[in-house]
Amino acid sequence: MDGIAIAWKGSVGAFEAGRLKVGGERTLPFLESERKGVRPALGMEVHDIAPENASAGMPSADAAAWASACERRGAEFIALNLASTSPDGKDASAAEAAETLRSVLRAVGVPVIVLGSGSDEKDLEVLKECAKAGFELGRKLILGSAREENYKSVAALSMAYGHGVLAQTPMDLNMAKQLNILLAETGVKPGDIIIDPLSSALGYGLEYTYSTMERIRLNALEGDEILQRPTIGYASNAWETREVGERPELGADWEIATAVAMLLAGCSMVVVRSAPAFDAVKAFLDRMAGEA
Amino acid sequence: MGLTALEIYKLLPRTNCRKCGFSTCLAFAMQLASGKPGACPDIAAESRERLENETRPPIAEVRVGTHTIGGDTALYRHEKKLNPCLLCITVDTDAGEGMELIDRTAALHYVRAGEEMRVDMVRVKGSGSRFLEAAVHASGMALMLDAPMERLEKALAIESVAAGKPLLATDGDFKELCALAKRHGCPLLVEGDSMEQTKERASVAAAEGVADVVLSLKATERERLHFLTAVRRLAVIGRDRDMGHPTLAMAGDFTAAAMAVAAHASIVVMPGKMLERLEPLLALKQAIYSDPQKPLQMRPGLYEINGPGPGSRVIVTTNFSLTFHTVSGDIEASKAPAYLVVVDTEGQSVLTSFASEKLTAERICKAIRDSGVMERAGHNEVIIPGLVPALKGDIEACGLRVTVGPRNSSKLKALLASGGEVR
Amino acid sequence: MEDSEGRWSKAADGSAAAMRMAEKLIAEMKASRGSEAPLGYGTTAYELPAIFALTGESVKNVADAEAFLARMDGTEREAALYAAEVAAAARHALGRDPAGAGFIADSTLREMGLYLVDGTIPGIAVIHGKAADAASAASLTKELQQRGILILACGQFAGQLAEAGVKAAESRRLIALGDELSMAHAVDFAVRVGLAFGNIQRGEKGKMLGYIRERLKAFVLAVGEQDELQQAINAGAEFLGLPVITDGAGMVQAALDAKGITAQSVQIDVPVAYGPAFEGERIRKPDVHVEAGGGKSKSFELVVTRAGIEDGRVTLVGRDLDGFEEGQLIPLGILAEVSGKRMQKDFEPVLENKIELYCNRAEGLWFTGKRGLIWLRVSKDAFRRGLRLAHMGNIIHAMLHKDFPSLVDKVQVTLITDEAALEKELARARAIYEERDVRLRGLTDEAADAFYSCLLCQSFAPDHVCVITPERVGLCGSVSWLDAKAGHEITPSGPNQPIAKSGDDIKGSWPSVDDYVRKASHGHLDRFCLYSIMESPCTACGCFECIVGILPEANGFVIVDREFAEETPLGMKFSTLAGSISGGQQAPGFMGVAKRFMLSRKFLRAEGGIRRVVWMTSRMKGFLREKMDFAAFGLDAGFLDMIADETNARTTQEVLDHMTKNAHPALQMERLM
Repeated sequence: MDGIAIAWKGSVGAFEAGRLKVGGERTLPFLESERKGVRPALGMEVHDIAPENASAGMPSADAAAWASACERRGAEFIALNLASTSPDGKDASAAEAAETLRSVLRAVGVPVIVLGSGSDEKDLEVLKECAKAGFELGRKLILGSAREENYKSVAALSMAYGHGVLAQTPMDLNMAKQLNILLAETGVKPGDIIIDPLSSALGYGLEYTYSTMERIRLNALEGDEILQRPTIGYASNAWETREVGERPELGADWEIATAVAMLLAGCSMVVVRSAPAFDAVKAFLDRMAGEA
Repeated sequence: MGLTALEIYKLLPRTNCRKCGFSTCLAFAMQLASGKPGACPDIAAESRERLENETRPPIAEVRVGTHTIGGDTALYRHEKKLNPCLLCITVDTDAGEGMELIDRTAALHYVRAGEEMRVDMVRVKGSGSRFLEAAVHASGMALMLDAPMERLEKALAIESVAAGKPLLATDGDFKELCALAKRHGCPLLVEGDSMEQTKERASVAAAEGVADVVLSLKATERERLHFLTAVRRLAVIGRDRDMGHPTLAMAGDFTAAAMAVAAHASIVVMPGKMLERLEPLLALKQAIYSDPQKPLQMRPGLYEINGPGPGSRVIVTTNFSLTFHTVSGDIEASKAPAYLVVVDTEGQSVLTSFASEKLTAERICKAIRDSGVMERAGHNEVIIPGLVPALKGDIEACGLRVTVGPRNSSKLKALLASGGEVR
Repeated sequence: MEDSEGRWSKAADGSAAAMRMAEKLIAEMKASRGSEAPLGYGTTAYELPAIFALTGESVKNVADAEAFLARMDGTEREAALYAAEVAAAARHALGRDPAGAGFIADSTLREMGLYLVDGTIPGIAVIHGKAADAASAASLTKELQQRGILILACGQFAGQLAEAGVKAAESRRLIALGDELSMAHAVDFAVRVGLAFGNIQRGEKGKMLGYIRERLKAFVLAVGEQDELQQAINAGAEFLGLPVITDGAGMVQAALDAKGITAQSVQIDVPVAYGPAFEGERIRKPDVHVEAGGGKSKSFELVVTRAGIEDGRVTLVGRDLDGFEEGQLIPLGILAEVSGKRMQKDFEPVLENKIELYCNRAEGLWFTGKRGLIWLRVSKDAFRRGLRLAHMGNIIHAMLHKDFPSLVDKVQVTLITDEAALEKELARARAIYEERDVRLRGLTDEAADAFYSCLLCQSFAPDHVCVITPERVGLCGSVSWLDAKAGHEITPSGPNQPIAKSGDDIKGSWPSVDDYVRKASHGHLDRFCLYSIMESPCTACGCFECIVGILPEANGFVIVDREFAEETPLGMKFSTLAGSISGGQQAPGFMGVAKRFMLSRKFLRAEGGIRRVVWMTSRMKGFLREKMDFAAFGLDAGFLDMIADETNARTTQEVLDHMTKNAHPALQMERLM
């Protein structure tokens, strides 16, 4: 379009796992010409315990069946939340978690992100068992997440078993940069790092996530090599808000609004939970890619 | 970009006469330098012109009803607060929409983070007779009128409609529209089928002497994003005066509307059926257009969670919305009844406000006293944020017993569960 | 690197012996199983790992091995390693593995590797040879186990351990591999760590050697007299990058030092609760068991660098807390001696400043003050629970290691309550404080070859950057040049980055600083004149202690502090000014600074310095009166009277009147505008 084209000095690096390839963007979101365009990846979230505000249209009783339904719908990757391992909840063992992962890996061909329950120590155990399980099944997983407190251990798993890593920092550009440096220093291949700038829900701080994502993309394009990694955003956290809790029938809209905002901010990977949100965001991506 | 305070100061009479409302010319200059408006009655004509020229933002400001759009100096929201967009609902009178939709639109409101959120604007569209009565009915709100030229002329003949200076749009002759807009002092929509046509029309409007212009492109969603980006860059980077105007996006559906809000379109127009789905878009607008330097704040004061009463725990936090939501969310999840005292730290988080001395023992004690919470709880123990244990001693000096909470509020659940009632 | 030929004089013979052993076994295999008979281990993806990694060659069967051995001439330094590897593999194929764990599977290696990477296992000790007796073998092993080191034991040493009843188990970080030839499995373990974790491909010899030398924290302990085969293996190990430490006193420490293995997560051993939650705790007089310092008894704290200290050693000179009566006032000296490869004298005060924080975190301990004037209270409750002075030593030791892992390798603490000893140490401490002050005074911007950035505030002021120099402290007042320098040493990838510069510039302008500022502010800012307020002044985030602003008619500047709530002669209050200069906005004529910066020679240097100040709040005057070295500026304290304040001037005119009445120097200086 006749405007002012900015001559960017750098581009977003790529991440590959199985048939999934994300990253590679050379300009701000959706501004590339149709022929050269890079398309963000849209994935879906699966839980091993169906969350309260479940799934709006997905069969959530069994993780493998759920994952399979997601793949059939078109999800390019699955984010598997092993919430059952929470010590404050069911406290399922790392071995049980790995078994769930195996069943999911057998059910789908797309890559799987493995997420614990949010309990630091337990999650490390869970990731360890899952990293091994994924490796034994010949699959490249994405381990969620490495943070400042535990990055060495998660890095070790990535290096030992060849998995990708989500590097998570709380909506701070400099911290994201530092964590990437620390991971690389420990030995993680830069190409295996995906930045998770922490997704705050819409209405609960999304603006910080949005700006952090936007600034990461700008810095990458301006040539900051350390930030030249794809970012991931969870639009699915819309389901945890009070508004959606009170009116779950509107949940998909909150999720869609969040997803579109993240995509405009520069996410290379977005996670949704509900079927209507997936369909709407996919249609949006199709239109923006000139495919619809 | 822009003149510094000292550069502006040099253009002023430097008499410190106070007619502008400021004690010194320097103070007034600083006001102007930060982009806020102001008028000096004694300024030399040449200096005034220079000042106006220099301080005119790259994207011109346009009044639409009681709202002002445009005026931005930055490309991205993290650089500087952007002027909020207007969400606009279309009332298509040819399709049978009318009074009922207008009433529902006017009535819609949500409150979030202490802010009232409403639909800002109504676009009345139509070619038939119902167009006029709808325009009149909607004239209490900011208006956009989209109709054939004769309908527009008739509408503007009505005082209540013309007084609001509606944004004018038509499929008819563009030059005629310019004349109409100029005559009534209304802003006008410059819309082309292509970027070239939009640009061309923008310069026509300028030549015709229409000051207030909003730019739009008839396009696919993808082209629209390119357009919004291009216009913004032309204005801010290229200093192109012809394209230095706010933009309008016609969003056909929910995702298009979300995209337009996120892509900083100044006006986002949506079909009437979207009215029920507006809440998340209003929240998105609020998020995108919040001031990056002034975080969203909660109303300070006492909050009750899970129905507290005598014996319930009392917890102290800041009024930074993110902190508040995290802490209150964790308390809620714990199911334990508790009082949450939100201290006014001007929206700063725990650590930031502690560093800037906005979160002090004095402020905390005052907030607790003012809220009367200890009388209601019937004890004198408070839980303070785990990140500021250093305040404990001083808070205890005002007669309270202090428990330093966890550094991460997710551990509050355990703390609250174990504590039980406090005597 | 030591010349291994001198140390391992019989290595060549040993290599030859190893070659012969390998050839013999291969010949035997060939005869009984044929040339196609496979060689290798089913539990690895790396064939014969050392050969795979270092030569890139594929040795999968007898024929391959034969050819490989034939190509070797036996003089290669690593010859013994390859020969031992082939021999061990052949022996394994022939079913003649000795007792012991033997070859460690890839899956086990991966698990252990995790602990190596995250630091839970700080290092690997490969031990072979023969100790004086089973008991000394056991005690050497214990010394390593206490440090969490993974031990791979071979040869007679392994047997001695069994004899001493020391159980070998993965969970105890002790693996008995087998006999001397099983050293091959220690070597293939090391090499596979590089392959699995170091992203090294087959045949990348240089990369592997570099990895083992630089990154793999493993070493060999050669116990007892070493025969020719052992010497050959030692020579090979050294070649590989594993230092070989021979038998002797301090063997373990020498090994740890050789690989820079330091104490990892150290537990704080105290009988009271410990954590940040207790930082704000106060101990009231009635609850005090003993009190020290506070100006009422002699006290000091000191951190100094010293070589030859013992890590973790805590010494008490004088009585402990239970040797005093309740409520008594005691003398107390705290001496922490540290050493580390990257520790610098300049960082001593940075570490010293932390002692207050570390002690306050213990429940029942309250500490304030610095240097030769500290004040400490121990609560009755803490004393009852068994808190003693040694625990303070433990706290300081553990926390210095935790906070400064890259600077500090060893920490030794001495607590002194004996008056005579304390007097002596206090005198020494005072001399060191004086030395430091002299150094600080002498630390000039001109002499520094680098300034430091501070990006700590960028999370809420994305476009702001601080450039900190020896004479220009960060505007928040919290980060000095030494703090930033230490910060960079501690976290090289963190918010403090060096900015090279050379010489001086009157305005404080350097191209290198501008380049950095441009980059760090993402193009938002173009340059800084570090010593100027009128031209490209430094920006601020928002937490400055005071604001300096131009009063044009007075040809000078106004200084207002954060606490002053009223309007200044500028016609604006602090809060209004703050709004216009925070968030990284560059406003010529205005600057947010730390109070201390006003004392610096570089304050407003481009515009003429402190003589340009025409009005300041009384509070700021009080600060200057106390701290300013007027003589150094050719002034005396009377200068402050020439400067107007809120008690005698509220408007520009009143300031001008005051200036005229007092003949303020700014009236004669060059026009600012």
